Amino acid sequence: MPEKTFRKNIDIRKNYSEKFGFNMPEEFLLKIEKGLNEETVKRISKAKNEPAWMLEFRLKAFGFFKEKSLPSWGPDLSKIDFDDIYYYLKPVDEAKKTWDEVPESIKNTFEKLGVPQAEKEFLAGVKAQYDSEVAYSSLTKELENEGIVFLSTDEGLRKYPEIFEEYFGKLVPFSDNKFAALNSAVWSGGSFVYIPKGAQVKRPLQAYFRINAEKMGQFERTLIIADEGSFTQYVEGCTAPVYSTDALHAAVVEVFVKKGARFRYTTIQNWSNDVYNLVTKKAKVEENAVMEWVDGNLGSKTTMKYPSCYLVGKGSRGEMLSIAYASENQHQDTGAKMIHLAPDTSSKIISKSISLKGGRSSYRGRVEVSSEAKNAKCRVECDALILDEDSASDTFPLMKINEGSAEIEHEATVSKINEEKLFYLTSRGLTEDEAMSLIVSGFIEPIVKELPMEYAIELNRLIELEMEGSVG
Amino acid sequence: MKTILLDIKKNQKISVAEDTQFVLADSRGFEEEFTLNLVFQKPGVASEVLGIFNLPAAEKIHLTTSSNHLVPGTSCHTYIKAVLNEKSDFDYRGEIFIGKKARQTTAYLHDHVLVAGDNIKRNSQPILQIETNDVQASHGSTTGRIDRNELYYLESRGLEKNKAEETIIQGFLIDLIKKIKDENVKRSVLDKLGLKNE
Repeated sequence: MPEKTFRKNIDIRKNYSEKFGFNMPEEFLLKIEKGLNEETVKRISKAKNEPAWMLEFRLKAFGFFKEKSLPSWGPDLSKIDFDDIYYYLKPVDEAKKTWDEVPESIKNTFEKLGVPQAEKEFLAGVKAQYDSEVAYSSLTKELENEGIVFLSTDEGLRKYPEIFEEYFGKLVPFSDNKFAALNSAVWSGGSFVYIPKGAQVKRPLQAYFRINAEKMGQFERTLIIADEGSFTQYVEGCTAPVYSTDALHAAVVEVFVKKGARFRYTTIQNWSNDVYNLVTKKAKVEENAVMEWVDGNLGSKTTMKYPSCYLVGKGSRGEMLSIAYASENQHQDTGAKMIHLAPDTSSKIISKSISLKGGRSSYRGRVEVSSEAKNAKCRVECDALILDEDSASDTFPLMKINEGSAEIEHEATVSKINEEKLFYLTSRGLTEDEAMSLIVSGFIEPIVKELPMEYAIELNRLIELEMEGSVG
Repeated sequence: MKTILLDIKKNQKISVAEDTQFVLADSRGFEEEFTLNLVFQKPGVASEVLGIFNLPAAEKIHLTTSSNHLVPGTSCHTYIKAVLNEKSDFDYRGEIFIGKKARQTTAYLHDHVLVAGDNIKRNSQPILQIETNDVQASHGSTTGRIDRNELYYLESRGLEKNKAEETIIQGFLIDLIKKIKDENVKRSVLDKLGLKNE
């Protein structure tokens, strides 16, 4: 009976190595040797010509990183060898303003990813992170005229040191967790975004991250400030070439959403299956502001990521929409945190996960309501689909409520593909593959429709393609 | 299905050998944390856990229930309902574990808290760990204050506020009490909670 066979073939990342798994010859101006010690941290800071306070911050973070042990919960991280990783690569010396100035090999990588076309058609500004440094950046006139700043974090630090002193590391202190400390010590690249008061950014700002050097850890650091009354969508997508050794990606993202502003941060993570993706993302949401995280985790070997919203202003709102896709040898440990600290705050978490071919997806979430947060509302929905008997799913929510006026709801379901739906669709003439693909697409649809168009199309096409492929 | 009213004094680990309904009920806090651990090792066994609590002012309950499904075809439905009065504290952790071999398991968990006072504390941690696909599992957790509209309706019908609140609380709890299959156990639970039989 083909049941087993067609299920095996549902892997939306099946052709990963042909599609994205290329590996361009490396070309670097500076590559600090493998391993991590104080000297590495100092050399990174020196290479970047940073202010003294940043070096001090890095060294303190490194001290904390050394002391702190790996988390005692969640996926197994014991295989990460911190001494077998490059912590800094500098492919080209400066961020290029025009496409012509970008080196040929890097250009080829972007051509394969379709960045320039996408930029022309859809994107307001492209920040592409090639290894540790921003290799190419451009901003359209429109954005510059409105006073919107969209730079690499390194450039941002050079140009706006006073903003960095005020905000950098304030939301995610290096003591937040071991990997935030690692990032704080060796960070490089990432985006710095400042949206001025009242600015309405119509098209999404987009950053494209890639890892291209084997055993290269990527530690980008993103700082975003959305000033009062502004509106922005920010999109980050990741693909990485396939390598046999484990790479590490430990990013930190800090988002400050000021009074009345609205900010949406969309990530599609499609790292290759050997990457550890351990990310800390936090947003501070002020009065009547809205923060939305949209998070798709398709790739990596192990992902640990729990974007959070600190709802500190009256009437603020946090949202999280998340898709996790765990296939062979993958563990997606993802979730969200909503911390209600002010009256009339509200939040919503919707999480959908798919496990197949022995993959494991875990939802880990936290909702807190402090005694100041009168009339807080929160709704959490977690749906998990397990496609075969070898795969697994967990749900670990925690709700801590210290205020009686709170209305908190949490719901989780775990199921397999509904045989009746499958039967219905096949009786209508669809093949089993098509039927499965349709059911899976329907399952994640509520989140896919929130993605920017080109991502939604790409995601849907990936799923369709891979499921069709098994008809034989 | 037989019904057992559990003694909340000491932690219980029970291997469920026949269809059973486990009842936990109290209108006082617990002195210590209490854990009910159910293990399903006999195929086809069905069970239900009912936890019914009316927690007085400033008292605390720290409760964990756990259902571990290791063989095919077992089921466990857990229903927890608690009323929290002024400064009371309800900390609940509800675990469902479904092992690789436990095909066709059905496991549901419902955890509902009705808040009737201020300055309460409430932790809820419903956990699902599922190692295979041919199962039905879900959990739901809600926390909410006494509905103002319901209160208004009852008051408009002539009930005093206290009485109206009491009626809503009773209605909230009675729902689970009705599920108790053994009449003697039902009577003791009503007694424990200080409720009248209808």
